[in-house]
Amino acid sequence: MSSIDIHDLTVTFPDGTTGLADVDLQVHPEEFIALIGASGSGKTTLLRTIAGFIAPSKGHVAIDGRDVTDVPPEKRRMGMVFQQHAVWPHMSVAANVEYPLKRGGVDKRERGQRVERALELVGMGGFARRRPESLSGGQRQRVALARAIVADPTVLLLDEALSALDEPLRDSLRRELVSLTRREGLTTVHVTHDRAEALSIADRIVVLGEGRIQQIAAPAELVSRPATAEVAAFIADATLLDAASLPVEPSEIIGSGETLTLAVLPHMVEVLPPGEDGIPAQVRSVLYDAGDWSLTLDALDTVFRATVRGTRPEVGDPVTMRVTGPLGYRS
Amino acid sequence: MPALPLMRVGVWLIVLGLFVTPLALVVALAAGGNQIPVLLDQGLGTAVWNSTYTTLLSALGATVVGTAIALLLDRTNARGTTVLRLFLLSPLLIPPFIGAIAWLQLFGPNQGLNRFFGTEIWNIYGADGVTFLLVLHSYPIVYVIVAAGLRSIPSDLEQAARISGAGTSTVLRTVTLPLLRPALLSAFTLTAVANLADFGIPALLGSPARFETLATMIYRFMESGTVANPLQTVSTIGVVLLFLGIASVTADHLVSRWAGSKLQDTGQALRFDLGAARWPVTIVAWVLGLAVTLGPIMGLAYRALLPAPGVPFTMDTITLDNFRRSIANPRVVEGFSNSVTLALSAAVICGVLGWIIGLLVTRTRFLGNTALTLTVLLPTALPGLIIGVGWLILGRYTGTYNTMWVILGAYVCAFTALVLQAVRAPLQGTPLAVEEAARISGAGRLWALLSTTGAMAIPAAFSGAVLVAVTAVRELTVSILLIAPGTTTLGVQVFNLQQAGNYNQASALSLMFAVVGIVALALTVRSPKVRS
Repeated sequence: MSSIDIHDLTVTFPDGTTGLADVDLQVHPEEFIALIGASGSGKTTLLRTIAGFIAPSKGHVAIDGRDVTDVPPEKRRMGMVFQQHAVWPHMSVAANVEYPLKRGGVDKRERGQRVERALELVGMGGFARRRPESLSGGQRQRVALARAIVADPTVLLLDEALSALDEPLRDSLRRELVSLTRREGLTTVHVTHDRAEALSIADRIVVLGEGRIQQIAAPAELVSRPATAEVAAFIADATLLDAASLPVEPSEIIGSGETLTLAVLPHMVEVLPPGEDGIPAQVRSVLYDAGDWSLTLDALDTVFRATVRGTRPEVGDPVTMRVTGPLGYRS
Repeated sequence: MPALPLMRVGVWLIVLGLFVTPLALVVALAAGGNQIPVLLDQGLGTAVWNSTYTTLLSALGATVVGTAIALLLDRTNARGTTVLRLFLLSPLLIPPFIGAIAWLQLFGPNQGLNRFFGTEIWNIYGADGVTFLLVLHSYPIVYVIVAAGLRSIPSDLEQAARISGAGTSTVLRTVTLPLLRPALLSAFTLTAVANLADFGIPALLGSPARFETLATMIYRFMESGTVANPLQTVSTIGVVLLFLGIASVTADHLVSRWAGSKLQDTGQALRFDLGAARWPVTIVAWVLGLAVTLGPIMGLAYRALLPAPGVPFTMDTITLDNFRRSIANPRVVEGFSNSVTLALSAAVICGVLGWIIGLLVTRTRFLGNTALTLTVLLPTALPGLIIGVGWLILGRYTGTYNTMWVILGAYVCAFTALVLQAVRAPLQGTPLAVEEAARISGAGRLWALLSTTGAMAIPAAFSGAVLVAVTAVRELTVSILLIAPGTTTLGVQVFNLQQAGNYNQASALSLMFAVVGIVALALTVRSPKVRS
């Protein structure tokens, strides 16, 4: 399996807007990378540039140390799964999966065996002769996955590959995807807008914002120590506020600069009965979340998130809020 | 009776009266006596053979050319495609018989280019000229259908092939073209039917070379009195064409239902890099586009500026007299005012009728909706001459023969389909919830339909009505058998001037037709609303 080296990658669209700016990223062999970010952050642009569908205006993409920046997509030997599965409706399941092998000049007998094995791997053995229109959405996505891995690709690219599926099917396919990529030793780049999904399946997560990499980190580090205030807000639902408006010492200060911004993550907020020592707040909303109550609180002219156990708080209840150890960001 | 069923009954009565009756009369008359021996004696075999092969060849040619142009304009990196599209699609704006008159000036025996080079490069009279003009006037329709088909192919499907190792030409061969199959089939069927039905091109380019098709044969029987019972004789031909028309409308209906169900629209399409061929392809396409646009205009201008046939073309001899005289010609003036009146009336009637029928067949579930749709669409698959014959017979029975009413009736029958086709797609795409929201807010069924979905489809119905007006004002085939002194149409006047040998005035009028059509396109392209 292959490594991906992305160096100084910049994409400017024909209308002048920036798709990516100075992106550097190294993906190790057999690593599972998730790209996340708000819509318009550049995550899909980065994936499509790796695939070769978008030509960068500056920078390089290399696979196993070989520069492929000017190599067209069909010569990159990659596998890709699209959001809307993109299974060809005019071909049988077997013909869909066989397609990359045919293009690669694999001889007929070997093609048959490899198609069969790829279909077995994604749990679609016995479906070879079926037409795509007779399959469910989840089955089509499995066929697309088989097609993406059948030719032993250098890299597996997943473009919101699970997003079109409904829970709980999505969860089970997510688990199968993880075990399949690990077992087969695939280098995988997965674009998703689902934070929980990225955190649960990736070895490392790349957070993009406005075409730039905001942070590259393993899931646990990303959650406990976001690199910027924006990443803290995006990944961990942190409330951001000026240091002057919250008289609490930060547990850690990241970065350098004049302004200090505090990021308050939900687990740093303790909710107490009204009248206790702390910041007066009011309950704005209450959601049930797997045994806990997930709250939003109005306080200090902004909205905080918190989690409590036990009795259900009511909307409008006055409470006291205590914040401990927020993260400080200098900029 | 509640309002909605009442409206349905009313629509059916109108459709039975204006669509079914004239066509049923053709069938009834044909069934009244066996005219086959007479027809065979008059050369039916040759006409059938001529019609068949020119139709199939021209439909095949148009499908190949139209598809190539669609791929070139919408899927490659050829240069200047926005303007090129206008040039390549310009034949759509010129009625086929005007196109025939124009190309005749360039490649007629001892005319235009044949005269200019002093030797006969190509004689346009005959089967090859007819086929060429049929291809020229039907490939833009293929383009429109195939371009829509291309837009409906999700770009993911092509990108998936790229990433699987397929180069651009392999993607085209293994994914794009196979997915276009329904669109190609539908384009081929539609152009084949339209070309089978065409009258102006074979009448102007075939007849002088004694090359007869079914359409010109009908005209010959009606006009020349060579057979004893012309109406019954042409009705027999009409029945054959009617069944061909029914078959093709049904086939197209099935194909579109099969094709429409599974491919969803997507955004940005894949563009194929022509590589080294980029400039050569661009240049060839531009030469072709300029030839099909400027060629006929120059041919017509050349002829229209000369005072009489045979006069050499010099700065001293050219004159605007033909324009002046044709505009002052009282029969042209009469034809113009009749055509405008008829076209506007037809546009209003077709607009309202097509809009209501569109609402009924897409927004209500009722037995007979498919039959209603197919009945209204059927005239698009029939030669205008057959609709003319049907209304001729109907006119005799109802005493409207020799009046404008019979032509107006025939226009409504022939052109309501244009409005129905325009409103069908937006109506089918409107979610049911907009009507349900009106119902839950207190509107009755009919009012909920008219005030929400119906109101939203008015712009499409209006575009359809404009198309009816534009088509009817320059139409030849439907009215040519129905005109009487005082009720002639503009198209028939141009045709008659050409047939009577007044080439210079015919060219002057044709040139005005062509230029007005092209200016109309330029305006539509500038306002994207009308285009969609």
